[in-house]
Amino acid sequence: MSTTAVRTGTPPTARERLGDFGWGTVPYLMVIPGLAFVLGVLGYAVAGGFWLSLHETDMFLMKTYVGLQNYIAVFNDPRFQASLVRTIVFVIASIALGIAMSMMFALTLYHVGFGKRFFRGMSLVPYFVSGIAAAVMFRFVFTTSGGFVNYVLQQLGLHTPSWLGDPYLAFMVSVLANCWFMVPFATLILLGGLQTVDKEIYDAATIDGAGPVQTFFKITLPMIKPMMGVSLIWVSYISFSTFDIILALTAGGPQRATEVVSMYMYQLAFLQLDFGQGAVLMVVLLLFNTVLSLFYIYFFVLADKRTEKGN
Amino acid sequence: MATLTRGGETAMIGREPGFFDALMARFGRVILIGLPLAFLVIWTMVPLIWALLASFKEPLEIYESRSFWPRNPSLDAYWTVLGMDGFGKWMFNSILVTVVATIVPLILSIIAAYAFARYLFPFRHVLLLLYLVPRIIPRVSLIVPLNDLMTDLGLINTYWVLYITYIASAVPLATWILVGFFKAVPREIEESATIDGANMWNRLRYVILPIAWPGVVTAAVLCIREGWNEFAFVLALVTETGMRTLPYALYMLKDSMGVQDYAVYNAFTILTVLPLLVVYLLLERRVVDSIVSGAVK
Amino acid sequence: MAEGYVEYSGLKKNFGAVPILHGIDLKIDEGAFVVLVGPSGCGKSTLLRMTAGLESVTDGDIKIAGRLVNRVHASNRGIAMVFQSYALYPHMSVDENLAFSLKMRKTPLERIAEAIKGAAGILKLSPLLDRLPAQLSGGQRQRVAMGRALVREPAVFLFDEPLSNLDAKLRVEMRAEIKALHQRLATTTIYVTHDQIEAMTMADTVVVMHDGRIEQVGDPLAIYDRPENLFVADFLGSPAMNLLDGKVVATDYPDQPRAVEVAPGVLLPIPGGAAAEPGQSVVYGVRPEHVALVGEDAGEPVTMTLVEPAGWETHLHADLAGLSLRILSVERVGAKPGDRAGILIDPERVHLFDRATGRRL
Repeated sequence: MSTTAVRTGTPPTARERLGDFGWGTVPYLMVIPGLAFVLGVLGYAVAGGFWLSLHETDMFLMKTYVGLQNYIAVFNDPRFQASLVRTIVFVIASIALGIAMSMMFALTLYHVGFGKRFFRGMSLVPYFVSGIAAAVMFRFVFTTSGGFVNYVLQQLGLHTPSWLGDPYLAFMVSVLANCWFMVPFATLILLGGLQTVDKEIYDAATIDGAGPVQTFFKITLPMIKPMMGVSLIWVSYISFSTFDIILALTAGGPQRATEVVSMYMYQLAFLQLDFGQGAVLMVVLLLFNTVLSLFYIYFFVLADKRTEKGN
Repeated sequence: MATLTRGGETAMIGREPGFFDALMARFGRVILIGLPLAFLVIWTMVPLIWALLASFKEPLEIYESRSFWPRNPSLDAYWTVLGMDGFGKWMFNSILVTVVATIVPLILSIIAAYAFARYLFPFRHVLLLLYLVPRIIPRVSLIVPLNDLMTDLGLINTYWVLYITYIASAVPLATWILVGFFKAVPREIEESATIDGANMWNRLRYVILPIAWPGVVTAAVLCIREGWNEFAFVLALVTETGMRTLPYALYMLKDSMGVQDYAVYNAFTILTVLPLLVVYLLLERRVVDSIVSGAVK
Repeated sequence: MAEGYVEYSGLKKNFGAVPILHGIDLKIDEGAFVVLVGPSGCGKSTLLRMTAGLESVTDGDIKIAGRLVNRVHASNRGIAMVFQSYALYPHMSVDENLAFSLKMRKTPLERIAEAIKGAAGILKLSPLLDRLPAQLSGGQRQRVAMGRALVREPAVFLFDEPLSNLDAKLRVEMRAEIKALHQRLATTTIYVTHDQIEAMTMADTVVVMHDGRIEQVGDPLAIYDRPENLFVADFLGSPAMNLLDGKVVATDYPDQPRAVEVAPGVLLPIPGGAAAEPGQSVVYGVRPEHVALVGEDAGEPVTMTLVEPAGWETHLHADLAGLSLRILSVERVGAKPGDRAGILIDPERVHLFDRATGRRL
């Protein structure tokens, strides 16, 4: 090598070197700064949360190791049990309603013949409204005197209930507000799925004698399975970690009817200053969400692979 | 039965589709598309429009709930909000934190996403995973340990605590979006630029970023959204009135106002929502296209 | 400008543990038009990309214009490359595409303008300079890609299957255009393709590659007429050469002392000078156009199985004692499937290969 380099007289300079596409340390140096933030803050927070959940914090912020005591206390706490059940009901109701609405909106936006761009752009607006603002608006739509819903009911001469004063109705309104906030994104993801389906497949299905309903269940749904998975992850993630919407809408009330795990966590840690038990709830939220997400990823990654093979 | 069906079909085919059929098909389509579309529009817009209308009404008029439109539209509520002690500071805080929490994550993510999209380096999958896993961690769950950490570091009630936490939550989002967009730039184009003498910086500057520009815009808008709307972190890490951002200020409004002045309340809400909606509407096309094309997940 | 020649010695490439090139030795003359041809996966594109500097060298040397370039950056090798997808910068207009490499080199603006004007003139791009690539037709994009290579005044042009994205008609036009351009500029050119027609029509020198090795190098017609081994014989030519397994036998005919028995009782003639001993296992090769159709009672009897009239020629498939035989006739043959005919083979047009080694005998 060296002899040839001497022979040619022009050994390659550092600048001329290959290596832009080589391995080396360059990519690591590019990746590390961002990772430092992510791991430094979020990673630390997760690790710190686990650590906190094993410790008791006294009024002077001194911490003592107490093992699983916080966990035992939390899991025996009827208020936690109730909030956990409530969260699960909230999540299931939100997923069912949210996915149904997203699918309906996506199909509508797919088939609408005019102003496609306009309606699509409009449908995403709630995604850009903060949870707090969404909650304030929803409170105002459902408020007893001056709310839009009761205004309409009143015009129709119907009974005007106290939406946010009644435990069941308040729970329902909080599910609705949650859906208002999270449906738009899921809608566009599903719309994207619908658009990837080759129109010729629908033609083929029509020739094969499939009606619109059959086509939807036998062709459309299986083909957009990956996007369905993404929407499900999104919808469950938002519902599980719902916090600002409920805090500003009902603050967990009335009679704790909307006190979900995240609300109770805030209550424990920031109002009762019990960081240990608050951290236990964090662990619960984290585990639930991770398990659910992994389940969906498994579900739609598998679906993805099968479609790839099909192609 | 079979023959009957076949006969029926033949009859259908044999008949000329007349005006009535066309009308029915049209009508059916209008019902099938029109009704859900009307529902979509009402469902999406009513909370916003109701708040907007109320912000022009008089407090008593809202309470009586007699009319849809404001009887004497007035901007009084807006003047009240703008004259509110601290509103300017909150708006400033929101803008400052959002700008920092957009620009810094974008720079970090562009660099990292380029490495992930183009270099085949060992452990890249693991590293990418470390970037992405935080996307499925509910942010609200982190406020307890974060509050503890930031108290220890003495960062509570500083801009720094907001910068750091906002940036940390925006980086995974932006990286995820940009990796997809960068990967979509054909490798041959970059090779061509390499032969043309462009080094990595020039390739990014002149080739990758211009081609992946919709992705950069999308990532920027979504970072702005995260920063502008963030609530859990600011709630947990800020206690001083002067350090609040707009969502936090909006949340605290109901406690700070003695009388429930719904007009002011709604005007405040509209003012916190409007700036971000303007940003969104300006760049709507790119954002919607990116989400629909599956580039944002 | 054209002072370079390209030389590979013992060039090897592995992707991880997988060897792609097994040691390439090749010298390319200055000003030559060399076509690397072979089936996909044969390593021809890898060899081109290594020449360009887009792939690193595992072992061996690459020299361009007498300079060892193994570790020289792609932009400093004096090469220009036209990609299969053209790789035009989609966000730049045609003139910006042409100017990009010169701008990267900080060339003075007036020099850039001059170079663009020159290239645009040669390639008839002048009216298109303001357009974006998306507004161009396939052929125009192809020309821009070539123009982008041209403005750099490279020592070597590299083409990576540049015509495979064009439709058939345009491909023929561009083929002629590239060849004309080469005749005009006489810049050393290395051209990769899997299309043997392109290889035959464009090249001064064809390099047939297979499985990371060079199978044969030479003048296109010489290779066509004298393939050195079975792979080259099978690869070049369309429809492909008939290759029949057989055994050399001695005959009673004085003017044909040896023949090849391809099926029991079916003897086919071989060239007088062929170095084949009776009893040897061989592969008998004859190109479809060298099989002459005669009457049923003359020559070896065959049965037609498929007739494909192509207008100016006719492709026939015939059954020869259970073996399938391709025949190409430049006449309009009125045969139908099931018809019987006879064939004659000119022994001087026959290729004999050793069955064990695949080498030409």
